[in-house]
Amino acid sequence: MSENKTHISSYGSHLLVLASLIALTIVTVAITSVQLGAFNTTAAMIIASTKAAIVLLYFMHLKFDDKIFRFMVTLVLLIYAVVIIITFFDYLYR
Amino acid sequence: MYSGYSNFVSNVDTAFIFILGVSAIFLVGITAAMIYFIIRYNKKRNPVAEEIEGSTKLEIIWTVIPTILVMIMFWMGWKAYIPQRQIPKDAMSVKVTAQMWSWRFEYDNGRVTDTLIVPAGKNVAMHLNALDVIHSLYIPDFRIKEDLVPNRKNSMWFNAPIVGTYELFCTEYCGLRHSYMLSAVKVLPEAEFNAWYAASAQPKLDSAAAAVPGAAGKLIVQGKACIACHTADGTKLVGPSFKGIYGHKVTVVTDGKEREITVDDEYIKQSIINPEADVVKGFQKGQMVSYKGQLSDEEIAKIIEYIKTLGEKE
Amino acid sequence: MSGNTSTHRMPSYLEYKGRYRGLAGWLLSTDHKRIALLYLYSQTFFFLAGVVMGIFMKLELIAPGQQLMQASTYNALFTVHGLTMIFLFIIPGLAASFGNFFIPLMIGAKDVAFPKLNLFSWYLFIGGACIILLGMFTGDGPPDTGWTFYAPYSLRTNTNVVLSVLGAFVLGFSSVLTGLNFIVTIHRMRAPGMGFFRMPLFIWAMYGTSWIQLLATPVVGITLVMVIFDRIMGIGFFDPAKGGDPILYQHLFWIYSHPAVYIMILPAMGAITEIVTTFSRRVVFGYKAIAMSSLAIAFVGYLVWGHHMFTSGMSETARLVFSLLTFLVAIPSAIKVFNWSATMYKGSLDLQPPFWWAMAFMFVFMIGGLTGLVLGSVATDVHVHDTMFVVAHFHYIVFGGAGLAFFAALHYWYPKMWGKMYNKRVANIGLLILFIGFNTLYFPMFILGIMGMPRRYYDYLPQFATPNFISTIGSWILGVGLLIVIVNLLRPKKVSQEEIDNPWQGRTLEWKVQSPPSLENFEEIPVVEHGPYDLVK
Repeated sequence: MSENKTHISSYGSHLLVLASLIALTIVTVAITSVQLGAFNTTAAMIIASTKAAIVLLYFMHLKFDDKIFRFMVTLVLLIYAVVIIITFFDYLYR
Repeated sequence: MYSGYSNFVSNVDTAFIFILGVSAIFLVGITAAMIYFIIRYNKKRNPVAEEIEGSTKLEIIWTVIPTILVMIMFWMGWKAYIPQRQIPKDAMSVKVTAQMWSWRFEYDNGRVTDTLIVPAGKNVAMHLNALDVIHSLYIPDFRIKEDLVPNRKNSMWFNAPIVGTYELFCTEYCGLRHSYMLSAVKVLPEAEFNAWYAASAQPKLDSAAAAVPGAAGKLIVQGKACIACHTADGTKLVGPSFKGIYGHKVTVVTDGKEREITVDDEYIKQSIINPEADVVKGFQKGQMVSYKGQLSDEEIAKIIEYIKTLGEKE
Repeated sequence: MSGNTSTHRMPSYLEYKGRYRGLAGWLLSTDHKRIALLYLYSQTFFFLAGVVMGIFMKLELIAPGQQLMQASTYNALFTVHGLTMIFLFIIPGLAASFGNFFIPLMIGAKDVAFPKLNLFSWYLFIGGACIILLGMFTGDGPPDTGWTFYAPYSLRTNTNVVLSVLGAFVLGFSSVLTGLNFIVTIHRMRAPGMGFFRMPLFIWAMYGTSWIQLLATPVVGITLVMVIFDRIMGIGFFDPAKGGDPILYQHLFWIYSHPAVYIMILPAMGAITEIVTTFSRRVVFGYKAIAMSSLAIAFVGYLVWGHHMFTSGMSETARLVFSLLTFLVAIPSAIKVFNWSATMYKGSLDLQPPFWWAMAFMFVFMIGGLTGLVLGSVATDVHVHDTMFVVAHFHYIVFGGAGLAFFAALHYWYPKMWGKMYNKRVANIGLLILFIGFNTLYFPMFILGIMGMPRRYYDYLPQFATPNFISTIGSWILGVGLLIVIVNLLRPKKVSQEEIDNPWQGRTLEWKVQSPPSLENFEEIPVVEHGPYDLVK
């Protein structure tokens, strides 16, 4: 397969990723002061997932790797999403 | 089966019979097929196997048929269950409190019992709470069960038409004496129940009984289920027996160190409010909850009065 | 490929002398076969310890009242029995022992993808086991919470919960790393020509299992850490007195522990598929259906955990959703049973001991699976939840299913693993006694459950006495059967090499190499040109 293919990210893109992660962290904290009810949890989960996705794609090189890995990671995240949604069938309808 | 002891029995039992019946047919059918294959197609009878790779038609058949059957089972189970969640508005309400290892049933008029007493043919709603860990209220004859979770408001209901006494178990493992945490449901004819219910709101003491020292304390000790763990006759259960402890020296463990103290008013009060602080040597920590807020100083004083009357150790 | 192994023999993996000799040659070996045996021996040891505890528990329950131990001893005993059997025997189960041994052999590889990680997994396993053992003999005595560690009881009890939980946490790492190792091995190390649909079905089952190990175990890992934090620092994630939510603990615990049942049973189903096919002397019936049902079980198995919580006070919506999903997971298991039976149809059945083990498995597994339907339907589950019915169902699936399959696999691959053969007649007698004992032991528990006897009961009311007595008798019969089986396996006969390379006329790759295999399995990597069970003249 593609053992010899390597990808070196530029400092620029690394800094950009860092900046967006910091920005999202600030948003996470800021959003807690806005009252959204049940959507507070939703918002926190979405921001956290976005941050995880950025780390996976850039720092962990998923974006530059074989398609199969992206497929697997997507599938795994999908399973986790379904598990969390089902858990909330309990918490939202109590 | 189909005893009719509660309003849920017949639907639940129908679901049981359907599921177990279908299961039995499959078990017997497949086992018979396997035995037939072993006899008919063993190496001696059938030296050369036929290489059959599969059949899409059969795969579809044995996917679709079980799917239909399990969907019927699901629906029957759900239909039989959903009435258990719909508590009628007119139901008589009983507050159930569970704690390690006793039950307490409190009625609207303040009457408290350790046995659930209900009128026949009336809807009874139970509002569940637990003081320490999770317990589960199970009445097998009524086919009902629900957990009692601390700080959560679970509830359940039933309607028992037939007069009699039925077992009531705790089915969520709750520690040392879990298997002894049982009680009963007494279903009384309505008139008899009403008479019992009206008789006295709270078991009061007539003046003669009240004169006996410790009688008031004894009632509290029974009502709060202290006697589930602390006996009055010297038998060692989960906690030390009340008999003859007052005024005696005992060895207690405080912060891992042993020391000797005398059982006095102060110590008894401390043991009720803060039971983990000084545990008598030979007994396990972590078995008792604090009764802070559940017992007033006055009630504690009555308990102490009662313990004093229990005399000397042999 | 060269099937001509009799002319030129390599030293087997048992004889091979590497850098280290003697015991170190085993404890430091990165050979997947030696690691598999390390797992097998340690697991069997824990299994036997668990059996002894089980027999003592049944002895206590022979009659109402106290027989030979106090309630606190009994409570500790069922907890430790559960911990040992579940975390130390059946979760590593067939995956760690037979998976390790046969995945490389069946896909035509020389070893797993990460041999050193593989050895490290075994050390984690032993490390976790030692921590659990330490928890039994130190501090305030063995835990008495049940293997489920339900909060808030596990936060309140004074027994040594922290060490047991820590042990289970470490074992989780072992499980995750093994799963990861197998997934990479199956993806990257298959022999040329072996596409996914030319893999033996045991490999498909292992593939599904590995994904569950990888994805579900972290959930229980973090949950157990939360329990430790609750106990040591008093944070109160699950403590209602501090505003925590004990129901959340149940959700998190069962998100792992229900899929864990499939970690136990999927490899068992894979091994049974191999055995039924080999002894039917024909191609397997419905290859794709069995392969896909493994993946379906792995996937749907994630989404059904709530049926452990039908009485916990979950919302009605959640109860509805979980009941529906639970019934869906029954279908792929049914498909497997149908395909196994169909594989026997028009076969040429060779009635050897492994085949009888597989038959015993199928019968017992059907009872376990079908009684599971009772537990999936909400109304019936509410009646039998947390009663002896659940204990019976669980043992029919896990001991009768995964446990019998473990022994079936042991009898099937025994000649391949050790190059010897056991006494077949004694093996059959042992199985028969064990099978009778098993049903005598566990079937009365179904009746007790329907009668309403709660589980984890040290003492019981007189009306439950007769079934309990029969059950205890069953435990003795089972013990005798087990003893015969194990002693028989420990006393093999030596037979000629030609007889032992492929005694059952198996068609998958592991039967094409010498018994026991050489260090590198294949002298040259085979090229696969047909399906795993196709008849090749």
